[in-house]
Amino acid sequence: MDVRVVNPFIEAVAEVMPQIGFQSVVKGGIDIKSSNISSLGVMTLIGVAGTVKGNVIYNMGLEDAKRIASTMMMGMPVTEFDDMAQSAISEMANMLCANASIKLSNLGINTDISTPTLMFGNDVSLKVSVNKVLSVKMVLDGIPLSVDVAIE
Amino acid sequence: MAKVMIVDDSPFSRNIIADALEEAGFEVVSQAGCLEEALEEYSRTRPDVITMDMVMPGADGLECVRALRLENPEVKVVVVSSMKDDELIKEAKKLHVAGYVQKPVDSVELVAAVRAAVAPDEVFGELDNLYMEVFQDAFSSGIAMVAKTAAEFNSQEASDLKYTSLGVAVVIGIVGRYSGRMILDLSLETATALTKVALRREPKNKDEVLAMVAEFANIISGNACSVLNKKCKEVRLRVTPPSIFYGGTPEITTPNINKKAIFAETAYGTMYLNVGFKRGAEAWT
Repeated sequence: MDVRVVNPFIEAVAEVMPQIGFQSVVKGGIDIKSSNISSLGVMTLIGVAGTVKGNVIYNMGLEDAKRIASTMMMGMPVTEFDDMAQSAISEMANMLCANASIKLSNLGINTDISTPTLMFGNDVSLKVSVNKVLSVKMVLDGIPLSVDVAIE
Repeated sequence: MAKVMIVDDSPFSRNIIADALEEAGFEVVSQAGCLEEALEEYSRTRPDVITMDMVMPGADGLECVRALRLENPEVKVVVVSSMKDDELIKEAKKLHVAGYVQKPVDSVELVAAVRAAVAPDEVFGELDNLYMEVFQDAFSSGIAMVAKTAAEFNSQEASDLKYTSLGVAVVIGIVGRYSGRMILDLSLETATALTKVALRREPKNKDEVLAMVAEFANIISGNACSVLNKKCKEVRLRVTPPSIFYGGTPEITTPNINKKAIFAETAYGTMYLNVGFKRGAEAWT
């Protein structure tokens, strides 16, 4: 996998999350995973088509998803991962991916993104179409978010 | 019917474009061959949409669009140009033009692009009316081809937005004028039985089952999108590679999109197909 393709997704988190209420965005480690990704609780999946194709997955714990949704809703308490919270997480994924897609086009790599699909539940894995997945741990105001890029 | 202005330096091209649009019922209210004429004719005739050539002597199409936007920031433009390279596409997208048609002009494509520029919701309505029937046909053919069996279909009420996975959920993203996604869901038992029929032997392992189901979903989505692209010219749908949720029985949802779903009852068990598109035109491609 071309690292050039991954950087825009990392930069998108650093650029977009402060605009939706997060004070600090820190990049953690990068892992290479196989095509089977274990869910941390909530996964948001977006399809990518164009010069490069595949999927991008925003993977997070259920409690962390609630905390992210709460920050996005200006601190409103989120006790249940309800429709509103699901919509917030889905919109976050959409904004992050759309931003990354624009950054890719500036590198001469044209892509289009699908609508996000949100999954939550325990003991679920996701099998993607590529053999290697680059997984970047981002930390937003202390909340971990895994950005898994399965594109080639 | 909507009023159209044609900007093109070639009278020949203007005639072809005008004929195609008039035949489709549009009123061609003005034609212009350069920036100055375009501005003058625009203020005189106030068209609903403008077709714009890219390469012209003097100011090019992009400069014309910028100048016209000063007159009316909302003006709708469909580019009609022999050139369609990445750089031009990028510039045109920055200017939020409503469509891009390459010369030589295919009249069906041109009319679809102009129609979509004038009434994007109308195109979505057409897609929305059509897509589930088309996906059901592709689903039905897919089942017949792979499982050599007929299926009985039941629609699910659109009000039931969320659903719980039966165990294996293949998600395929859809991009194009409207973005969306298709989910094919079935139990691992059904998936295994289906794989056994398709391979005419016991599957070696779960990976083989998942790969077969992914390919099955890929065929359904690819066929359905091809048919929709033929029936509904301006949508230009393409699919993204499949991903498969498996293991537990998670809840799966896509907030904020129009969704439709059907159940197929087959000899190997229930399969569920859920397809949705987001209203609101995305950038053309």
